[in-house]
Formats: sequence, C-alpha cells, structure tokens
Amino acid sequence: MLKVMAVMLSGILAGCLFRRRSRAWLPFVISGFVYLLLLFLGFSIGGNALIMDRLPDLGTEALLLTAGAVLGSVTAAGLIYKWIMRRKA
Amino acid sequence: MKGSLTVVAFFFIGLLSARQGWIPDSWADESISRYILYGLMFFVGMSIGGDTKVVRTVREQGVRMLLLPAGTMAGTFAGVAVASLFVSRTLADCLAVGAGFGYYSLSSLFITEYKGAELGMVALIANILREIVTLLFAPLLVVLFGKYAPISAGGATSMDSTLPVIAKTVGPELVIVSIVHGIVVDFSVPFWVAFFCSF
Repeated sequence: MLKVMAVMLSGILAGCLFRRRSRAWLPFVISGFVYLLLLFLGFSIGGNALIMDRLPDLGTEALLLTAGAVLGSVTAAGLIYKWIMRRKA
Repeated sequence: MKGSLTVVAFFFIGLLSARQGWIPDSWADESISRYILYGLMFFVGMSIGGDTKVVRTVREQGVRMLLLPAGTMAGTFAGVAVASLFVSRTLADCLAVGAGFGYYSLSSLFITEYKGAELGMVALIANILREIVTLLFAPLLVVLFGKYAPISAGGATSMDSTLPVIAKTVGPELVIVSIVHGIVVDFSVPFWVAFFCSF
C-alpha cells in the first residue's frame, strides 16, 4: 500500500517537473494501462473456478453494497448542497 | 460511457480466456496486475501533478475543499453499513468494499491481497458498478439530490472517468470541485481499505 502511494507521489512530482512539456499522450497511456489491468485481472480471476461459480451471488452482493454506497453519498451531497445554498442566500 | 464498456469488455475477455485455458498459467499471476497498477498510478499521479489549475484552486480554497469529499466518505460508509445488513459478510468487509469509492483497480487488488479473491471480486464488481451508475444516472441524481450529487456518486472517479458526464450535467463551474473531490477521495482509498481490512 505504501508502495502505491510512493509511486503515485513520484508521478505527481514528475508531472510538476514536466509541467511545461506537452502531456497530451497521458490520457491515452492511462486508458491503455486501465485496459491492460482489467485484462490481467480477468486472467487471474477467470482461472479461479471457486469464484467463477459464485459469480451470481457475488454480483448481487456487489449490487446491494453499491446501492447503499451511492444512495448514502448522494444524500450527503444533497445535504451539503442545501447547506451551502442557504449560506449563500 | 464507451470507455467504461471497453474496460468491462477487456475484463470479460481476460475472464473468458483464462476460463477456457487459452492463456499460459504465468499470465494469471496476480503480481502482474500489481505492476501494471504501479504503472497506472505513476501516470495518474503525473496527470495530477501537471495540472496547474488544481494546485492553484487548492491553495486558494483550503479546507473548504474537503467538505464534499468528507460527505462522500461519510455517506458511503453509512449507506454501506445499512446495505451490509442484507449481505452475509462482516461490516468491516463491506466497508472495505465501499472504501473503493469507485476505484475498482486499486481497491480490488488490495482487498484480494488482504482478504482473498472472493471479496476482491465483490469489490471489483461493486466499484465498477458505482462508476457505471454515475455515468448512467447523473442527470437524475442532479434532479433528486442537487448539483453535488453526481460528483459524490462518482467518488474517486469524479476526477477522470466520470468527469465528462459530471461536467455536462452540473456545468463547467463545478469541474474543478469535481477534480479536487476525486483526488482527495482517490488518495484516501488505500488508507480506508487497509483500515477496514485490518479487522
């Protein structure tokens, strides 16, 4: 976990240092990495019969948790928005 | 949206290939995904670091920028806690999944390492779903919950993958809010995931 933070921070540093240079290629590289990552994630999970068999159950769990997460988030966002709007008025 | 579908497509191609036995065993090693993730993190960091507007806004706005990310995190945890009553997993496990905030690559890899491939899979699906739900329902969320809602729903993705849809539905004035929100939530993911996985 710390390694990931360190790598990200070094990326941020690189971004700061090369601010003047063009970074138009970045979104494409990032997309490429995301696709590659999901491909290899698929490779590592696909061979795992234990998980593959449980996919419907796991999917349902994921759906419920996501529903909770999103509803909770947007409720909080709604309250914050109302509070900010009231302060401005 | 097309990007998200492409991402899911790649995942299914990988899944199918492995299941059919079309790929050599060494390719299924989880450490490869780890290294690809490091590469991804580096370039994501680079795109953040090079963004001059963000740095200026953070300096100008200060602590106020933490309000919406804090709300997103608190709201997510509260919502997931309620949902966990309907799911046969411990609260800590559910919160770890929720702590991905849509960041499927990082969270599912970590959770797989700490808690095993099954919960990692739930995390992957749940967080991909979060991104897709934001993309699909952003306009509706604005109507029901106000302009900050799609930003919150997007979680960590509000800085990149869901940003275009957010910008379209809430307007360009809130783009910088969305980006900073995404960055803050993004950074918090490893800490929250590690925290909940330690129970």
